[in-house]
Amino acid sequence: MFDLLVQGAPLFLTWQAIVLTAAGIIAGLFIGVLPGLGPLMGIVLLLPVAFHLPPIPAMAMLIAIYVGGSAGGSISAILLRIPGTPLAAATLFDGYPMAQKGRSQDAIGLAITASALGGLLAGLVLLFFSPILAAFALKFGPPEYTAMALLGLLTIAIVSEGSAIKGMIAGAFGLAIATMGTDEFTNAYRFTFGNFNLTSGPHIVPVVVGLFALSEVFFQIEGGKLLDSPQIQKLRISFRALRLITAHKVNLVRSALIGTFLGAIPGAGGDVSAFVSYAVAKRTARPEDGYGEGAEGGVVATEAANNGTCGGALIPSLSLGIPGDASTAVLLAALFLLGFFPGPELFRNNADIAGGIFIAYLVGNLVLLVAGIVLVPFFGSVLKLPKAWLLPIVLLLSTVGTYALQNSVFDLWVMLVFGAIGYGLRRAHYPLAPIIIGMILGPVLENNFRRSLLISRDGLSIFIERPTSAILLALAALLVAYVLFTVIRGPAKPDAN
Amino acid sequence: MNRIKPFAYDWIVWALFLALPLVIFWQSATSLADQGVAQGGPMENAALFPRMIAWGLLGLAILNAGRLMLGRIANSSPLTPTATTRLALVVSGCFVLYLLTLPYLGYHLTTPVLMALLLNLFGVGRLASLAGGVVMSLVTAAVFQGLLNVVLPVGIFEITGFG
Amino acid sequence: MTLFNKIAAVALGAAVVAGPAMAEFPERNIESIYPWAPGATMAASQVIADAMGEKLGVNISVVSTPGAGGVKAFETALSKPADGYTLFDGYVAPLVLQPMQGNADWTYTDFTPLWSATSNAFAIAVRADEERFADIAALLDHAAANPGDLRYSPGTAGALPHMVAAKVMQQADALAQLVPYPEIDNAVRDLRGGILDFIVINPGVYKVNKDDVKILAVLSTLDRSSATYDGAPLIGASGIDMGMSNLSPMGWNWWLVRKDTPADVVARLQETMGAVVNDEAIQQKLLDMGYVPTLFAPEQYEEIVGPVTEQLQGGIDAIAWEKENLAN
Repeated sequence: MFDLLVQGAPLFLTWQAIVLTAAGIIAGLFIGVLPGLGPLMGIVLLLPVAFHLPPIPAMAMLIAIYVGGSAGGSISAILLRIPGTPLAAATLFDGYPMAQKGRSQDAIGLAITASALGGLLAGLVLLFFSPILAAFALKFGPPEYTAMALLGLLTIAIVSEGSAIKGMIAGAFGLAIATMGTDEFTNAYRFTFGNFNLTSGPHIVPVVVGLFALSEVFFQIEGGKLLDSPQIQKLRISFRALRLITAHKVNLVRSALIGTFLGAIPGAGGDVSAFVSYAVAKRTARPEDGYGEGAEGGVVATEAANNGTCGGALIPSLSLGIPGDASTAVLLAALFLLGFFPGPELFRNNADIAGGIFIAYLVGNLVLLVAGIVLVPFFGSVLKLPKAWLLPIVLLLSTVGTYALQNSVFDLWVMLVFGAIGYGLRRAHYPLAPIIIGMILGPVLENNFRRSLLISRDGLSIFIERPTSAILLALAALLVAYVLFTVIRGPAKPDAN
Repeated sequence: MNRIKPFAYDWIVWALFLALPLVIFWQSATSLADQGVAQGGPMENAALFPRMIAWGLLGLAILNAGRLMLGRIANSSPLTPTATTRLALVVSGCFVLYLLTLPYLGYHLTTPVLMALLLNLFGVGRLASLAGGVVMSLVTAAVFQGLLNVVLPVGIFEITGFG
Repeated sequence: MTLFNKIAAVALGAAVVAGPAMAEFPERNIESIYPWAPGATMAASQVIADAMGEKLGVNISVVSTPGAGGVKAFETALSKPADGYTLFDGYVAPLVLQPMQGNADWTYTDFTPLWSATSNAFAIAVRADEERFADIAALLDHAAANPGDLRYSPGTAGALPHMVAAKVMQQADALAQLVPYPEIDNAVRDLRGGILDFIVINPGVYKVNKDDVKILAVLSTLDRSSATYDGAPLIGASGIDMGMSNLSPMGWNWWLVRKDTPADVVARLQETMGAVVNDEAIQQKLLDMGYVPTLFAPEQYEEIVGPVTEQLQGGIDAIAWEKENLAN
């Protein structure tokens, strides 16, 4: 496990990688603080920049944004009662009451410290389990990958917010988009409509930017209040939280582990793990701790869990190539476009890259600990930035970033079209994450499915003859049966939140 | 009971997801068949997997239509414009114009104009909008062209900026 | 007037006449449109691009534009003005192969060549601990005696490595089940896992997986190709004629610009690229990556690329032969 770190160290220990990790954490924090933007948006906006960098600095920057962004959401939750990201929704319960009691300084400090320490713990789990999982997966062949991609996509589609049916439709939509372009077996053009720009299908970056960033800009404009800037209490730099957190050691470790575990299951995501660990912390607490009225433990539990989820989500992503959530799906796409294939081969052939990514994750959390506290006074000012200024910046970065990817104006039109689709889907309460995961897993699913059939001497039976694929497919079948059962029989399930 | 208006967006999106499998079937029967890759074994049949997705989508779309009609969907999705929906549409229109002119006029002519226009539309003062638009577009260009060596659209006047 | 002075005077005169044009190009960054996804091969192009950029005083960015077997990259570059600011990284597939298969409406004569860049030979590899086949002849004999019993992957179906492998097998009347792996790393994984019996790889992949694979034959007629596989035998050594020679069975690229590019711009680019590929330090760097500098000058373009076309037709026919026989 440590040889990975040793191998990755030379790649990471460059001024470029270190500066970009720090910059990524800071950028991530600010993006997370701003309501409506989140870690995913941060990764998406800076993805095109990453392609112009060497692999490790690029991944370090994106992972740092992921980490910083996941932590940043808590700040607006505490100060404004608006979670910057859905991840921080549970942080409201005790964070905002703490601020009301004049302890916003402590609440933010605790949130940042818990995030960073929770992230570090998750990093250790990641470091320990990923190579083991990867080594196990080395024995997997095309049938196993087919089954795994199918199960991964189904889980995400079903667990995402909104109804399971809508999640599955979104996932199938992603798969359909992924079939556009040149078929990799026959070299035939599929659904290109005679346009050479589509011969490799729509690029994932304009699709992601359109679905998430552009639709968000539209939503925000519709929301009005473009020139408003909220009142924020004055904040100072204080390291007091480092002392406060020592009273919550058990809670911290437990919440981080819950987060890591749930993160490693595709689909669960940081918001779910934050709520779960909050519930556990509340149940084990004494009544006089006052959960819901500004208990320090509440903030620690949710923040340690949601940053732990980041580390957890990286486990299946890196070792199997199956993303844990939308953010890691985009991180995977980035790794892929940088020329590396996530999965067992990464650990075998590019152990230095895998190691470098782990170091980036660990260092990112360390930087978070310091930067998060030092920058506290600035977060207030960022929150005061009116939307009138923020939205044009988001639009400009989306546009130039997407263009820069392939120097293509066509990609900008793709972005616009998916912006419109994203808007409609969000209005109709469809989850967007399964689309991205579907796009990433589409080629994996199709190629391995067809490959399995070519390898098999006996048609589809290859999927049942191999035990691992048989088990995975049985699980997938159970999931589908369960969803159909609830749809046909059960009462209306509340859609989205 | 009216089940169309309160679920307007649901139905619009539903139509999209109903059309998608139909496009897949149509293309498989025309374009892919013409290329000779719409049938045969896993090696030759490029339409195999897309057709499987299309059947899946079709099934899901039918299920969802059933849920919509039976009122099994908890959250409504009506077309309710807000006070600033018109503004959002105007901004989208400006962006379309921007994309249309970008290849011909180049980044450095179009971008400051778009940014200044948006700021102004959003209620920022004229002078501040102008300055903001120019600064934003120059800073972005400096990062992408200067640091990342991207060639931004130069347009027919070949304005390169930091390249 | 000494000879030196004469030359100097002519050069000076030329510089004055051509002055404005020479001074103007390049005045901004140049793009090289690269037809595949990023990876080891792109890194080799980047080495040349960086060295050329340094000499020209601008940056040459290698833009990865994968799709349609390289056609998308060519279409993209063709849609840009013929001003020398857009270079084609002309790989065999988009330059020769795709037009032959009717997927593109240009021929290699529609471009003005700079220098040829690198070439890399393909090789047939089996598991490092493979005991069934001592050499390539044993493998082909088995495949001839048991048609379709062995499974193999040439990476992407229909691409150059597939053609070369199919041609070799056709020559030996051997047949193996084709399993395409657009991501060659996964083919190596499944070779190791026992799912595949042999694969066709390039030096870049070989370097990464040295310990897991054994090279049975290098699919080339040039002795220097053997060196990129640590001295593994050429296929000719076992008495098999693969029906292709010189550059034809290899992956190679030739940097190009649009035909209507101004002559002075072409001259500047040719001169710069010539200096770069002939620089020994650069050559070593490329060799270390498994790519052999070809050192063909612009003048040799037609004489080198022309014959490739004919021989590749043999590869295309071999794939058709393989497809027909696998179907039976």
